[in-house]
This record gives sequence, C-alpha cells and structure tokens, in this order.
Amino acid sequence: MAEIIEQDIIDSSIEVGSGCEWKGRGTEPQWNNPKSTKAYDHIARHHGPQLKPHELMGRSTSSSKDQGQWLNPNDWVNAEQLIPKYSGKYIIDFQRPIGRVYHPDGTITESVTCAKIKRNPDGTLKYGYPVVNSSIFS
Amino acid sequence: MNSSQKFNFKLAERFLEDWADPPEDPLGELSDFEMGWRCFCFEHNHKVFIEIGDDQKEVFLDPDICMMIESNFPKEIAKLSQGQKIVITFSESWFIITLLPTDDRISCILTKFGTSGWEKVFEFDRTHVLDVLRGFLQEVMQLAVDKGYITLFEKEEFIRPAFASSTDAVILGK
Repeated sequence: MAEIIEQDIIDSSIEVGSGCEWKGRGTEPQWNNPKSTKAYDHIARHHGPQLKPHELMGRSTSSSKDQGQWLNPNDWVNAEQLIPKYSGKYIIDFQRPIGRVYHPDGTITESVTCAKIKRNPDGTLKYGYPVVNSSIFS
Repeated sequence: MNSSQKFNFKLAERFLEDWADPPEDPLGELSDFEMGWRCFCFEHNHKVFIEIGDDQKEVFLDPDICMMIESNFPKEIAKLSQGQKIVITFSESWFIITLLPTDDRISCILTKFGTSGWEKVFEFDRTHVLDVLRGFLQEVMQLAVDKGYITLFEKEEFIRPAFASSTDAVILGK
C-alpha cells in the first residue's frame, strides 16, 4: 500500500487531475497513458526507463545532483492517481521498488521505493522522479 | 540579508552532450509552438548561468530553462511587476528562487533542496530584476526564432504579458 510521506499543498480549494473536471488548456490529457506529454511532461524524457545508464550518470556527475530513473512508466501514472488532487509537491512511498538513483560519485542506489512529484494547478505533473529516502523535501 | 546588484541570467556556451531523448509527442497533444520550443531547447542546448549575489548556478536550456519558460514565465514576470510574489522552481537542479517585491526592492530567497538544504536571502533593485528576467526571456525566445523553431509571431504573442506592464514597477515604486 503506497503512502504519502510528505506533502506541501499549494491550493486545496480546487480538485484537479485524473477523474476531475479538466480546466486546463485545450483537450484533456490521456491520464492513463504514460506517453501523455501533456499529463506527464518531461518525466519520460528525463527519468524514463528507456534512458541509458551513461545518460543518467553523465547528468548526475555534471550537475552534482542525484538522478532518479523509473523502472516502469505505469508507476508515474500510478503516482498521479495516488497523490492528492491538489496542486502541490509530494513524496510518495510505494513500499515496493519503483526505481534507481544515480549519484554524482558514480554509485547507484537500486530498488528505491520513494518518488518526488509535483502537480501543476491544472492537475498535470510538472516533474516526478525516484529519490532516496534521505532526500530533503522542499 | 545580502544587499547586492548581482542578479543575472546569462546564456552561455553550447552544451553538446545528450542526456535525454529528443522531445516527442506521440499522442499529438502539444501545439506546434510547444513542440518547437522543446525541440529548440534540446537541439540547441546551452548552459545558462544564474548569478544571485555571491552564488552562481549552472543550469541548461534543456530541461531547466525549457520548463521554467513553459510554466507561464511571461505571466509570472507580469505578476512580479504588479507587486506579487513569484516562485521559480528548478526541479531538475534542486533549487528554488523566490522573488518578493516590496516598494522598489525585491527580496530574493535562494533555496537549495535535495539530499542537503540551505537558504540564502538577498535584496535587489526591483527594476534591475525585471529587466534581467525580461531581457533573458527575449534573448532565448528570439534565438528560437532565429534558428527556425518558432515564428516571430508566436514569440511575440507568448512574451507579450511580460512586457505589457513594463511601467508598473516604476509607477508602484514611486
């Protein structure tokens, strides 16, 4: 059973996201499709399972930041369904392995269970990537 | 609080490493402008230096600036010019810039998050901050036009909100 372990809700007055009335621009995104660029924005391109290790390692080393990679695209769809229907930032613990994290020193943490997610005011996800448990929320 | 004039967004050299796949829109959900902008950021990736007081952050057109500008950046500049607080989140580079206008000054909070965190507070001249943000927006969007990824009309339409209230800072500051 997944659990929201940290949250910073920006606007609790309007429910947004899958299953809610679409108030964003144009047509409603295909929430259940992990390939939806509108719903999931840059997640697939920068943190998807198709990325090669050298791409994530290179980004981690050059930026001196951890880089999370999802194991399964369906889990960012699951994340969208599990976090509250409010714009804000969340850390969700799936309590099962959902990704790995590449560290700037070249090491890799496998089988991480947590992901950091931000929901936009229109309900779409601005970002989402696996994080180690010690990640500081902001 | 540090009082300083050093607030700058500077487009730097090309960055030629590919860290991500090319932008795709397999479901056809994005407009030509949105896809053009993303393709420009990917195919003409640059480093961008953000200088805030004694701190300098290195970010990239793809993904950092691409995401910043997609998040209604011209409208955020308009909000700032009208005296409202704005928050610029660099989620892929793990820091946040919060800009809070007060009269003719702007308080700037630089927050680092991730596996460690800290916060620094600066104060800048309000007009200077608005000039920097508008200038950078104009520069990168014009480069996308010059390289043929978006049209001049699309660019002008998109950035207009940032310049629509360009006299507000002066008026409010008096």
